[in-house]
Amino acid sequence: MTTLNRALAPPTAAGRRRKPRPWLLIALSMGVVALGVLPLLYLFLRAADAGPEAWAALLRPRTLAVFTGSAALALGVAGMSILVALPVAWLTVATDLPLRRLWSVATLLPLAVPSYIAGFAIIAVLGPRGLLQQLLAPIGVERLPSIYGFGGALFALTLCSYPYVLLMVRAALRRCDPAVEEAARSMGDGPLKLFFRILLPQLRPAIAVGGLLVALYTLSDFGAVSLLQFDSFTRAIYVQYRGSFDRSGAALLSLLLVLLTVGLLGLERLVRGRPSMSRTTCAVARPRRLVALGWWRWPAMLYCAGLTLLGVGMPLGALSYWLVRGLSNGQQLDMLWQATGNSVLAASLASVVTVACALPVALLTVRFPGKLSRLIEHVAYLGYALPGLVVALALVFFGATYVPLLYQTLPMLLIGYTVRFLPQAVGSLRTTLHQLNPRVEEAARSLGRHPFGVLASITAPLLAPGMLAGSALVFLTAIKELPTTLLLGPSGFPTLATMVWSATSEAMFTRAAAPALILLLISALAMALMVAQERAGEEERAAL
Amino acid sequence: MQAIITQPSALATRGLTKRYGLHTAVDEVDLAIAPGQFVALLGPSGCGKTSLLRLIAGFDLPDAGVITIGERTVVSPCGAGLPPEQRSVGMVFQDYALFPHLSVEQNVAYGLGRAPDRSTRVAELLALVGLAGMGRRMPHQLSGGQQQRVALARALAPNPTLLLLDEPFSNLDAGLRQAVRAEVRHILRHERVTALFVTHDQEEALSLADVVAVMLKGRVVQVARPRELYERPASREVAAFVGAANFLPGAADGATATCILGRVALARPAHGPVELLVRPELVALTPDQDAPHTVVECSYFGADQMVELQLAGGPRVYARVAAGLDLAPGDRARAEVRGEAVAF
Repeated sequence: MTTLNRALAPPTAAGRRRKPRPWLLIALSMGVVALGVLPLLYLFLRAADAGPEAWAALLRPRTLAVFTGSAALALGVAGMSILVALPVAWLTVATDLPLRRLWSVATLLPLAVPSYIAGFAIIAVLGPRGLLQQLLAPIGVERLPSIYGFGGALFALTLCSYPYVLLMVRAALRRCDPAVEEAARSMGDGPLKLFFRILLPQLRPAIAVGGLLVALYTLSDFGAVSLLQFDSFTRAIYVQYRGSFDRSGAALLSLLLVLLTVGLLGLERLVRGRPSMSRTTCAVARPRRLVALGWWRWPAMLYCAGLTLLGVGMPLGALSYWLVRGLSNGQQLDMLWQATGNSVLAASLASVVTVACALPVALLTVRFPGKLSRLIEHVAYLGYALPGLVVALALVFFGATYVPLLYQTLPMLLIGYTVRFLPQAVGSLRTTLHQLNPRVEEAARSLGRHPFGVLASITAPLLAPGMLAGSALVFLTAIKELPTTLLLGPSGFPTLATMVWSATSEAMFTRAAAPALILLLISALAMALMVAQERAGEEERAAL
Repeated sequence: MQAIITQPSALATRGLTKRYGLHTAVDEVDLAIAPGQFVALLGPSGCGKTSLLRLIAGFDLPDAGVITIGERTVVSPCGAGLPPEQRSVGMVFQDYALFPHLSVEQNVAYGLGRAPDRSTRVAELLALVGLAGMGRRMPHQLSGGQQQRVALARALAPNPTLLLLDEPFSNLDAGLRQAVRAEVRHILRHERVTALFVTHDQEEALSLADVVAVMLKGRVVQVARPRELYERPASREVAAFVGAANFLPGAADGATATCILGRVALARPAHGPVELLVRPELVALTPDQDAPHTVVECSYFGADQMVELQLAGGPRVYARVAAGLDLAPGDRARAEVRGEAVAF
């Protein structure tokens, strides 16, 4: 009987029944994501169009020099960052360094310094006519060794990106089980041997990932390398874009940079994909017994203090000095207020638009996991992984050809910001959504509400903190963003970031100081906000 | 079982099946619940209870089968299903899932829409669940037991045709559980609601429900009143899962069977070689130094005690005997069966 039934039933009947797909969400998310993908595709088209001259230009030795130079800088900054960050991580986690908590915060502060401000600080302090030269002039020093080029770029970028390694390594160090080290101690290893034989091998994955983050940051950096006149990819692309009518050369170079970035990303995946070394003993370890530094604590303190001074003190000092000097020389500030107004306007609009665009993507990827939503999520993160200059350039090409109405208008700038900062907003929303129990939404459905009603009465109010945090984050990042603003901003629309950049590139330090200080303040706020959000997230998780 | 299905059903499923990849979570389930009944869906964890509940509530669609709630077909044979908001099914979640941004009152009123007697109904329900005067509190200001009562009131508010409860008592600590169970049953009787609750706790199912449906590996294997389920389990699996059980080999000849403990009466006539289910409380012990059986272990529970006995030349059996019976490991005892065994 049952076999008969089974034979009569259409074999595919069971397979046809599926939960209805959230078509509206999918359509909206695809639209948002297309915003970033279409221009990038167009970049390929444009590069394919490139005439023989552009290809010839690409094959010139100079291109090779740019390629190797960029790669060398990326590796150099990564290596230096690891060297600088490792001792700080160990000192602030595993030793009895005096004022440990102060140093663990202070050494992270350079994260708040945009690279073009670090570049400014270095030029304003160490450059020709800089602070140091002025100090030394009375004793007859006319000239300092040049800080432009590879050395300066290496210095500036290491100073503002070593905290990425520090964060990674510190987190890994906290996860290490002290019992393993105690075992090594009991077998006769001293503190130094311990570090090299036990700790370093355990930290290797974190070091590698941190280093790769720094390399990616360096590769995509535009501000510091431009100001310090190092011929990296981004600078070469910008010069090519500004300097010639045939823009397909810039497109070709951009694609080459994308290639390099994708290669690095692949490398990162490889490192991350390796099985991580995990604790073999109990999950909750005892707190670590701190290594007594003894006499060594003085040089250790000096090291942390020096690093903080270079990373944060130098920019702040240089900016304040030039600000005071400019003001006393009658430097006008009216441009500043206009630029501040423009920056705030563009950034606040960007935050609203970006969070609105992020909402469908976050809802789709958290509530309807599957192959399609995973793909959409990956593509949404693209804008973040690609160098800002490339994204901006792609949009310029695309806009100029297909939507000339939008070219060099505020909406175009907002689209640029949205593509760039969508991942941040999606991330904030996703964090909040993950903390939101899906049963709560199901309860609302079973009480008779339509999905839209549930979205309005339950999901949206509960998501509000995430939306707020996301928009704040986008606001604070957008206001600092240089390459997108520089390329997509309407003409006659100065912002704080473009003002710092143009004034510094013309060595007009007094004019750059005020907007740079305002930006620094804003960056500090952004960092405080991120830290606060992270804490809140942790507390919420602990409470659940 | 026949007697239960003769009335019109509040819930009926036919051939309900749900697969996740190769795993069949719900396997051709036929289940019927009469109006006003309080039914327990009992099974070990991972047997598909919660999956079945989610199919009925409409949070998932089945791969095959039909669901009828009241007089409406909510999942038709062609696979079309009504969305959860149109099924008139209330749900009490294991973790309560209260709306954290709404007060107790607003939580309870959520399903009432713009009904004119909204506030009266909310007050009535809050009084019913013993939370009168707490309507302004926020969910996080309530204890676990109070949150659960809010979840119950919220689900009852729109007068659902069917109420589903997913492991409703598992998040409460043991001391509170007993009191809350009795209270919930009282509330459900008062509201005359048809309810289906999922549990893995057999004691909870037996003591609380009018009818118990036992689910094993995705299939509903027996639907019966608690007493019948315990005394006349339909299969050896059900017997082993519900309550403590001794299984003894024996030979049946109609109304009785012979086994190592002698001749026993059978609940259902059987013939030939069988396996006999003898519940521990049916095994009576008499201390006797000349008896063949030896006491291995005694577990004392206050009201009674469980004695593990090594039968001479046979298996070990458990006997639930009066607490006053003075036995210790190594003692000898006679054993006999008082009551009816079930033959499989």
